[in-house]
Amino acid sequence: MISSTDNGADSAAQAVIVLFASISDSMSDIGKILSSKPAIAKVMPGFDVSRFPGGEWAMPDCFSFEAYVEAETTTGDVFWWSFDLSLQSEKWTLSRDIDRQGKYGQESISDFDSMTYESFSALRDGYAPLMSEFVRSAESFTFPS
Amino acid sequence: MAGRNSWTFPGSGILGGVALGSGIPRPDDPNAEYETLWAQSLREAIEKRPGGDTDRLAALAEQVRGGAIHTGPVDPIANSIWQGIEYLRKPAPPQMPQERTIGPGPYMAPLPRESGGPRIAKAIIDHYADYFDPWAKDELGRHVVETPAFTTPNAAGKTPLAEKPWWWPIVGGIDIGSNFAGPGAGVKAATVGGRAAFAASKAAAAEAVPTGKLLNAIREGQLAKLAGEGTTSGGAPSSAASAMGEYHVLGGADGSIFRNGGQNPSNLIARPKDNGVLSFRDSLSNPYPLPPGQRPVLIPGEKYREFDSSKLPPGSVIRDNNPPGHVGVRGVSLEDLINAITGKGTFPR
Repeated sequence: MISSTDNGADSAAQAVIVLFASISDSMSDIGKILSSKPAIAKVMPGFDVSRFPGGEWAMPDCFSFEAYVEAETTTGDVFWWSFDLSLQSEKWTLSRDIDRQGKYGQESISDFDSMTYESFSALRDGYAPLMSEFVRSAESFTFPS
Repeated sequence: MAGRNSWTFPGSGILGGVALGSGIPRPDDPNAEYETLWAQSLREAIEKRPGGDTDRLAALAEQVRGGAIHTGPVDPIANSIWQGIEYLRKPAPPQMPQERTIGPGPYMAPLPRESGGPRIAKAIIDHYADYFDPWAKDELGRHVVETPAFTTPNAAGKTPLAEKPWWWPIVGGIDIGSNFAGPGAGVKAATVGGRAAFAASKAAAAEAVPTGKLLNAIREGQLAKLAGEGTTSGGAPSSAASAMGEYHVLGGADGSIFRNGGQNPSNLIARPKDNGVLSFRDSLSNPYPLPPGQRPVLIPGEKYREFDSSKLPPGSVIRDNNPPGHVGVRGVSLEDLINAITGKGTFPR
């Protein structure tokens, strides 16, 4: 049994994992929405948690949580919804994208702005409406035939 | 103070403080009283040297003082001699001040060590060390010159042997590469793009963005133009790219390669029409200006991933530079690609 004497850190850690679970739930909702579309043949959800060291540039390490839902159409084209949270220099950056495959990697077909927050509590307070908008984008998206 | 007929070498050098008189010192000459023994000996040695200017000057002065030479304007010859004596009596021009004490300092060109030049030069030399090493081995212990990546022609029908490294324009107008069977580009192309020699040049590139822009413009424009390469695999004519420079942010000199987007599987798998080749950019850059109808390779405002090409399997990285800046990767598992990711970022708008 591990006990902690720092309740503040505990609550912050809990808040982070609760947020991740909420993001996962919402991405799952996007997957369900996409699966229901006749143009979609296959849906593949997933996520990555990564740490990118600052390295020789002497930048602070960057921590990333990226959740995505890939959708392959019946014509073989692949699109994906990507929700990315990054923490660097004690700032949180939230970005959302709808992308498709391109020669040099993804080509964005959305125009969501990235949002930067000075603290986790600010991110938590601002997250919900942004994620709701992202889920709605899957509902309204029309795949090319 | 020295007398009218003598002068003193300024400063504290070997002749500093030595007074040279125009004749025999007079009893009232104050300089004689202040000469040190060493200075007096030196003065006498100089004044007694036969045939010297000082000797002639002393003799003329004595004649003038003795009335043998008229100094008035009536006698033009004597007057000319007198003017010559006066000329010889003129003290040396004053030295330039060694320090400025008033006003702004003059513009001084930066020393080489104060600019990025040496850093770039070091990168060149480091790369050159590779270039001269025909027996460099890859990670599997094979001689690089014997690997398929080195001997297989690229889409432009060239082997790495025929390619030139990115810094080639710096070397100058002389195409020294024609004198060597250089595996340098091949070394970089095969497996070891991320070697320490090039890591050093990365910081230099960061400090010298304008330099990098220029170099890449030359590299992508002039070299491609001179090489007369044909059309690109992507359909954009390289002649159009040849006329362009490049909007260069970072990189271009080490083993890092860049690709738009994140690391979800579909972004790291080649499209069916790309024939199994995953396309990367060899620097964090874009062609500039863009050909009509072509979107930037790395999209401003969008995220990208940086990969260390040295972490990819030998022979999987093809630096074909076709179109300029293009690096192809093929035959690599998704796991290997993800393990080669070293950074993420957003391309500047």
